Amino acid sequence: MSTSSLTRLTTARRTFVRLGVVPVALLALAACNGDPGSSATPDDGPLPLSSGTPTTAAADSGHPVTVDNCGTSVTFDAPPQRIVTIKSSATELVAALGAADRLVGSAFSDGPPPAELAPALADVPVLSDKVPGQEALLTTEPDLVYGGWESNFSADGVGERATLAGYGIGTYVSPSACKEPGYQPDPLTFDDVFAEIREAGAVLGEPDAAERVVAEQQATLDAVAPLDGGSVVWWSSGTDTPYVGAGIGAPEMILEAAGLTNVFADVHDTWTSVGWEQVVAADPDVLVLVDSTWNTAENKKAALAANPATAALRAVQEQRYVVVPFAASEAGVRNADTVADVVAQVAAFGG
Amino acid sequence: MLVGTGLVVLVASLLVTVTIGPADLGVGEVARVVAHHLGLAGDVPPLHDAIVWDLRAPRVLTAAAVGAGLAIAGAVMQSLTRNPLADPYLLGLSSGASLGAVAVLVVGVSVLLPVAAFVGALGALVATLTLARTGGSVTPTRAVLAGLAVSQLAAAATSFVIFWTATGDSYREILSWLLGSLAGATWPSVAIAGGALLVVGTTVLATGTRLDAFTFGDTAAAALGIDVDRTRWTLMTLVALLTGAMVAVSGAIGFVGLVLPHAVSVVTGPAHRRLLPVAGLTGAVFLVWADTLARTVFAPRELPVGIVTALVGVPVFAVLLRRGRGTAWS
Amino acid sequence: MELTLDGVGVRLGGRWVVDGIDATPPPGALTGLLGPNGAGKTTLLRLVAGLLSPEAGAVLVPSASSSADQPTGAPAGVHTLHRRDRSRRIALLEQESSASVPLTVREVVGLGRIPYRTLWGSDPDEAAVDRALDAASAAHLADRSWSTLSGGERQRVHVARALAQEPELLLLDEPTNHLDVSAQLSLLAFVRDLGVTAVAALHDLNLAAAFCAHVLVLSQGRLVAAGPPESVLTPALLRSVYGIDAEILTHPRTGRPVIALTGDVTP
Repeated sequence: MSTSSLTRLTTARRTFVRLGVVPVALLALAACNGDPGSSATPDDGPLPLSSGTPTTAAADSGHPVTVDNCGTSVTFDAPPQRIVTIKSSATELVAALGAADRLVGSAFSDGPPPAELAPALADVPVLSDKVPGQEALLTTEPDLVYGGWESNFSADGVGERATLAGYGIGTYVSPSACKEPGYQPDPLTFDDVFAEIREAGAVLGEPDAAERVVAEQQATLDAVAPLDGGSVVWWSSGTDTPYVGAGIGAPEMILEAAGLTNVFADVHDTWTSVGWEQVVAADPDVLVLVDSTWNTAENKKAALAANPATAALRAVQEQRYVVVPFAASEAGVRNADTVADVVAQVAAFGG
Repeated sequence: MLVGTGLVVLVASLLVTVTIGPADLGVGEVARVVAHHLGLAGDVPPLHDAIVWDLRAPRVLTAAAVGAGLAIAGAVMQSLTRNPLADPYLLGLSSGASLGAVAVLVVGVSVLLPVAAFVGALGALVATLTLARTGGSVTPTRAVLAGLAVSQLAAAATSFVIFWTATGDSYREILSWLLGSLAGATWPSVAIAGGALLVVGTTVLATGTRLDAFTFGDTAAAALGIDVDRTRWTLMTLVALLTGAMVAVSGAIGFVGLVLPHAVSVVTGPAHRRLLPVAGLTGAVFLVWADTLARTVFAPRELPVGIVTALVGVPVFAVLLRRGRGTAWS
Repeated sequence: MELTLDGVGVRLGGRWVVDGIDATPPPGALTGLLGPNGAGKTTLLRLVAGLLSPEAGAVLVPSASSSADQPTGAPAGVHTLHRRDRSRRIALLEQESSASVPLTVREVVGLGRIPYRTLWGSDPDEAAVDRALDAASAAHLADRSWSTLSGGERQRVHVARALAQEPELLLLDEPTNHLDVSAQLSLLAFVRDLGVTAVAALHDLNLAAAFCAHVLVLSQGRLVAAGPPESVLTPALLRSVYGIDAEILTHPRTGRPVIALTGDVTP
């Protein structure tokens, strides 16, 4: 499905191909020549796409950086200075790497960021609560769009990756969300998550920050005392037909690290739709409820109690619920903390 | 007699399919649960009870009621509009119900879904009939065309709601509803669907025999003593009520109302006195088995039953078409 | 059945399609309804059948069925009768549309029993269909499929269907269309000999002349002539109503009028 195209992103030479109505602010673009570091500074009126300012990255950022991202090869000649993120996982990762000041916009947040990242993200403009359209994106004049899902880069989303590359905009998809065979992690492991942090760090010119984050996460994981087994169903959404964590995605990764056994670990998918009968038959020890704005954990608890079939489950009667925020249930910087959190919640009701 | 055979097959299907499912329960254990609820046996393990009595039993019973209702509604719609491609959803009913349901799913108040779907269906019917009435009496063609217009409008509105507000997860719920699913069947669903079938369905069966009179057109029907306009309106409203109740409970399950009447008429002939009840029984048996397949074939995963009805039903219909004397339309 | 048309008229789309018709078709005989296209024949038949309500005048029939031991009631407007009652006494056969009908002949004739069916659709008199088929000389067609019948056979079956209603009044709209000569003749002879009051709209003037005891001639919604064919069908009438030039001869054997066209059309 994806083409392997080589796109060179240069700050030196950029042309802007435009279709349709052009916002006035963008008309004042100049094609720049020369090395990075020349041309205007951000304080002189409309910004050209080529950011000539000295970057806030370390002097030796290791650029140019080329990554093979879900089958698309992208090269960054310099650390991106104007980043747009889509989905909380991307936003939080950029913030964790200390690059929140380079965010010119975020979109499609899945929930509030963790407390330690919230201050840095407080002033980042929110472009949309869903995927923004292409024009809305282009008005921010980004040089990198970091998407948490591949589907963010579609014609009715922010635009196809090749199209954006044609405008000189780099794109990066969270590698754990790749769907192409060979690129989809199978299964997803913390090594994959750490590799993404490192790769994002390389792209952003923050390799040291990336190592630091990975080390912190690894330490968190090492400090976790895994539970002693116990069956679990990770209920993400769906009322009549529950959509649950299956064998090769983030839920399984987190549950394994926490020392729990996912009832649906045998299903070779990231998440899957099952029937309540399977859940009831398995009679899990613990129920993980994903808390999202469109389907809160409280809703889920109420639904479980109201459904006469599930009301008979031990986990429901004893309220053995673990709540996980949606943003933490996809691959990102929160997974390690989530493992610790899951273990703590289970321990709280007596393991 | 066909109706008698049909009843026997239906009861047998219900008894068999309630023992089938992804959970590993033997026939004896299932029987004990049923016996327990009939007061004939002692206590049973709560999880067995939950699976058999709270999940499977209402599900197969709802499937039977919905299948019967949709097949009868489809047969009547086809005769009313004199159009072999008519189905119960023709007058904008399913699009209206979908709009109601999707709106509720997206807002997150899914407990109101049956009500919203039913209201949506009836709202669409009112819109259709009002549109069809402008400038003249409601003829079958006008009703069909008005129904198409209302369907398109409701479908566009539904798409808009989905596109504007749905997140990745609710897409799945919406799709499942649009394809039709019996996964959420509860005892209240049985009451709704079964009640609608009993009250509205039997009225349709009685009134529907008048449809034979329309064979040679409206004037011929009137000459045979039928009040053409009133019969049409009554039947359309009854069909809308019946379909609205079914859609509210299980989403827009396709194929049953469209093709089953044809398949049945190959065997029974077009006389509504036999066609309608046999279509009802056939629809019930068909949907019970289709749903059983949907929930077991890819276990532990579940398919929406609307996929199975199409995949299974079309070849069966093809065989019947080749063998029989032709449907009510050929 | 004693049938009286008393100044009956109706407007459709603002125009008087049938306008002030007074007539008394003789009971038990075949009356021909003549007139060019658009004269109002079909509309008049529907008025007589009670399917249209007249805006002026009335179509009067006895208010209760006539039978040997029950005197007929006072005349009543046919459109005021109860539907079911009316459909057991009056049968209307319009021209058949060509929609495909997947029924057997027996099932088609069975439709004529609908006025007698109980709530659940069963017929209290199961032999009625057979009697109707016999009366129409269509018994040999009983198990044939409708789609395999010829035009003449279908018309016969339609008549059987009408007879299954056990009517006292039979109304036919152009029953001889699409039939070949022998079928036309045998159909009209059959209807004439039934002994039921019958009114048939006819195109063919010679058929009307040969078979009808009485004719009503319509022109632009009005009745311009009524009476036995030999007195009504005159060259002057044919010229003024049909715009054709003809001579009226007398058939040497039957004594009935024969319209001999000259081939001229008068403007």
